[in-house]
Amino acid sequence: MVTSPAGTTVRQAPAVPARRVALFAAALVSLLAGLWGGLLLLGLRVPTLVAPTAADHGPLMALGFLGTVISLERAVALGRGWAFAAPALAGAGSLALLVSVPAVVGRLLLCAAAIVLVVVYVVVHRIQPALHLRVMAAGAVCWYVATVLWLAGWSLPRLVPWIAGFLVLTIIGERLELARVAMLTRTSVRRFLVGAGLLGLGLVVSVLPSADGVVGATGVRIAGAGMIGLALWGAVHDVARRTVKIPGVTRFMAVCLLAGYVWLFTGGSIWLVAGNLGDGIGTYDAALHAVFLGFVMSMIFGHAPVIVPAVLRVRLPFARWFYAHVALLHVSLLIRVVLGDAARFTLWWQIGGVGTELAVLAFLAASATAVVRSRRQRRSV
Amino acid sequence: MTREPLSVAQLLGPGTETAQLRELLREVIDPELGVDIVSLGLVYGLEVNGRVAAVLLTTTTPACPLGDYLSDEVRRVLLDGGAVDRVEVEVTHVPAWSPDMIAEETKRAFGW
Repeated sequence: MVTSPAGTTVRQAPAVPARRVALFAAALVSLLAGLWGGLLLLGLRVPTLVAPTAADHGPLMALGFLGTVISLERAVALGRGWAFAAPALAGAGSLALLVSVPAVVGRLLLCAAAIVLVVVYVVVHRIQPALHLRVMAAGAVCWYVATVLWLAGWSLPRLVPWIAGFLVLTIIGERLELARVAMLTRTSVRRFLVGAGLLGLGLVVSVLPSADGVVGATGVRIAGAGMIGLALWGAVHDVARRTVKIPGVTRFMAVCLLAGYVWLFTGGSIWLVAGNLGDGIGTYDAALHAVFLGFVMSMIFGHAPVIVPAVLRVRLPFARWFYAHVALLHVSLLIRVVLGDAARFTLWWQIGGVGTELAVLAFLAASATAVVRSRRQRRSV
Repeated sequence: MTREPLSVAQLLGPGTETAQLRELLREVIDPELGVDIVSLGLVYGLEVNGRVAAVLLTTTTPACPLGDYLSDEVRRVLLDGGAVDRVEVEVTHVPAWSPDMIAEETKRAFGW
């Protein structure tokens, strides 16, 4: 605060909250470690650095990075100090995965983070009960189940549907909330519930032995059908269909969302047809990355101009060149899935994989550049 | 610094200056929807006392992290307007926001 000539106090540009920056930094470390592990999994000759980056690539990306950011968002929304324990535990858990402590430590911390996030949703729901909050809370429960299964010694390919459930239900819950602006009808809510219900049912069934003898296959198929349903719901009822007509950042976000629904549909179809995600490396790679990169990462790209200012209280003005990293993500993923996973050209699989990683790095660079430019402009005014 | 607690009932008086500042708040856009916060019904109250403005805001859900961001934008817009030297912003979820609070014209734009 400063004093104006009139003697009254005037608020300056909001201070960047240091604690939130530290939590955000932990999320970024997880992201970068996860990306490095991704290069190793693509078979590139890069130094190993620390062993878990490849083995724990998925949890680092989905729980370490996205789990920390999502729970940080919720803590900021609730505005109570204890709620920040969720991102702190998630950040600490993912960092613990990277250092030489028993693996159980990181998994326990990530599990504890999920519990706190569930409590956050319970408190938020008590403030204002709503269906979309119950859907997002169900996503947090999926995170919790994933870490419990992980602690119980389940392999990542078997528990990964639960991690997908966490992210898909969180995002789709947010979309349901916004869809209210365009007057949700009972029919649209019913369609939403069918998709989300199938996804939830599929996840539960996925931990049971399947009739065809492949553990989890039936559940994965049902969950895949649920994702298809949710993608179709989004294509018809998401407010992005209308906001895509509004130029600037609003259209950018809508484009990211609508492209994401295409990949959610694709991923759901792969889950539905394949059933057994461990059927082959190509199936596994396509089934996961269609959802995690095509749907989730596209949403993250789209929402960064909102989430970064909301969480860090810095302006991230939209720039048209943001479309470059979005295009790179989707084109690279298409190459990876079609030429790499389906047609089995290893080189194209690697090119597509590296392309998706470059898209994430370009996204970070573009966002950081926009923030720095904005702060410089503000100072020079 | 002490101040009187804000209340919706207290903030309903549509004085000329208040109306002008309310118009300024239309520059604060919800980036996701591309619509200003006044049209979305997110501004529950606005009061001007001398060179001080008090604004009561909400978000569409308590799970939305945009409260701080919108508060910062409200301060920026009103201070840039030059009519006030200080802006107090409070975010509340009482009463709960509902789509019925959206302005009729905006509802129509969203297909109501």
